[in-house]
Amino acid sequence: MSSARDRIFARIAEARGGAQLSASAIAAERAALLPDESITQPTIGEQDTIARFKTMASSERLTASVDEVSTLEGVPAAVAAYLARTGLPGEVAIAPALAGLDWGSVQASTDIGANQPVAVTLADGGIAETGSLIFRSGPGTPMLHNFLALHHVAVVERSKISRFLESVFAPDTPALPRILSLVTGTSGTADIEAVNIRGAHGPRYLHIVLVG
Amino acid sequence: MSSAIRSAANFKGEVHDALARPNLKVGLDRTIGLLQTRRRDVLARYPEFEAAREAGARIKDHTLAHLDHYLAEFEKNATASGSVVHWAETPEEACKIVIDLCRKADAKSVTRVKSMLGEEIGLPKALADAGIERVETDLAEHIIQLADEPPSHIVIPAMHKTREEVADLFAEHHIHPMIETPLTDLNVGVLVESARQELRPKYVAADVGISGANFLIASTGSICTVTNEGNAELTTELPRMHIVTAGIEKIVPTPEHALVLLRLLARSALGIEFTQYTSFFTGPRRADETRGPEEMHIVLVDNGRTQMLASEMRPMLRCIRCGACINHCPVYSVIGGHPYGSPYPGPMGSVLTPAMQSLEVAKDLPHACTLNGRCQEVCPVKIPLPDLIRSLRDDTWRRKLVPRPARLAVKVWAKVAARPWLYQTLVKCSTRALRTFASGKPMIDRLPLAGGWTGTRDFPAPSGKSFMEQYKTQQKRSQR
Repeated sequence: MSSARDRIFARIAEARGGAQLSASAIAAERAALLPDESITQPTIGEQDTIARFKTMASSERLTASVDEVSTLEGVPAAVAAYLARTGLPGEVAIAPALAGLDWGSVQASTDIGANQPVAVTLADGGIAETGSLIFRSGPGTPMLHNFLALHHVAVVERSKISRFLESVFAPDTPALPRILSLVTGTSGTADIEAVNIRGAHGPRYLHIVLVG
Repeated sequence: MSSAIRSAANFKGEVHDALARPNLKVGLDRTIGLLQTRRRDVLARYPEFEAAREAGARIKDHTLAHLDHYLAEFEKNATASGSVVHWAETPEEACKIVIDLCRKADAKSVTRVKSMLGEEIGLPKALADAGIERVETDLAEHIIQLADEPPSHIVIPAMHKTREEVADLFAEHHIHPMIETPLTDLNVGVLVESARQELRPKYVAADVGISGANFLIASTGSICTVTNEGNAELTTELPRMHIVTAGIEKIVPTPEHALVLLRLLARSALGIEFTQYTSFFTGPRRADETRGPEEMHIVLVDNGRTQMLASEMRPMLRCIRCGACINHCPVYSVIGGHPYGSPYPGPMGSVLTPAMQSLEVAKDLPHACTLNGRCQEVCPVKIPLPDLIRSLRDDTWRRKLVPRPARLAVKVWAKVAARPWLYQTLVKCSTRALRTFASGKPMIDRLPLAGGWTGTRDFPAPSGKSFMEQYKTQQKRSQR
């Protein structure tokens, strides 16, 4: 306990003028802040969750392309097709969580170098509201894979696409990983005269493979 | 220039210099117009904006009312996740903590994600003094680091730079500059690529990564960052140590509360629905991971915030640093960010800087305002900026910080205004005189004794009847 901490806390108490409320009283007050979370959610109406997700992800701003496969086993072929279509070499970095798949003609390695052109990673879900992908760090899903390569291929299960951002922190979700990252499109910048440019540091291209 | 803690003491002189730089207005006009349009367009698709603003203000007010409760909860949860929480009352203390940590990590080079708190506490200078190489990874911060200038905007720190100036800087400083002319929008992309190539090896070589925090989450002990470039994750994931510097007012109770504010932040700052990369960091590398920082340190800074909490300025602590007030300020759009003498320009700076540097030093800032109220209209957490600015003006008057000629002028005006016949006679005479000067034109470009005004802008000529004339006509008509 540092003395700077004590002095800061003393000034906060002084600013309040009275005693601190009990934790339960504060919790009750907090519960009243957002009686209904839908009041701040943008209206997406009756729109189908998957349709909205695809529309948002491939919008002019997010610029992702979307492919669909029926099972996880179909992912390597979808990746091979993407590489062929974009004229990329057949070497990719993959998340260790995807190492069990039969990669066939694609040379897949779980290591990632500083100038790796393509990375294939596994998202833990998606959000229809914003077109975001949810990434949770862990031994099978290291975070760097999502940020280093120029081409980011993200695999996500169709059944894990939710409607609103709040689902990321819903009570039935696992505890927070070291990094939870919501990725909404590609690495972009508007720092020079507000001109939108893609591929500032990380991915310039995002290709989403929906599974199921 | 970029290195020291800045001061707002020379506001008037800096304004004078800024107005003399023609490129400044070019850069500002190109950017501000786009930001205003994009914000308006995105809000047209978010009819929930008003309800969200109310909720955002409520969330911040609740958290500020129980600030010690939530800070203690944050500290407990961050510590449990393996982070180390440090407390600093002053910029000097905060910098010392960061430098000591860098030394402990034997750091030769640090990468940094744009953080206005870092600028506020003078961290760039502290790192330079300690002989540690600082690599700014945000593109705009990279540009102004090369130019050795301070940021002029909180969201787009190089707003004052034109694409032509950026091209010149990269040609001079990059190892393998990539520049193609003419500088079309497409070729702005080539400039970005040049920066990408320049920065890539520096991410890998860094020993420490320093970030700010857009939010501190009490219930989880996490810090949340938002970027569109994805530089926060690269900056913090590759080095051995991650240091966070954040103001104590950044705290919110839970991630759900952060989401309400994140929806407001992206729309208000850049006119987008959500930032590209929104990440929640909770502690250092875990036992089952092979990457990630071995240590995570969070330095929480007061620097005037607890004084604001105890004063009328408390609503300013709701600020989520979106910059919308700056983008809609007519004064900022002419003078840019540098004259404000702090990392926080525009209306938000006119309130924050007096609290952080003292009203004596920043006495001119509350007066650099037309009180038009647009800042309050666009603020996503409903900060009554014009009221706060007016209150600070009042303070400068009561503490005799207003220059003597201005005090005298106000006193004379008060005497005259208390005598309607005198006031109206003087108004009539001056209106007539101004009309003579205007000689039929709508604006006057030269006026005796008012060169300070007409030197840099025109003075509007009086048009039509005065208020009192119209009022009297109206009264006569209604009596009939």
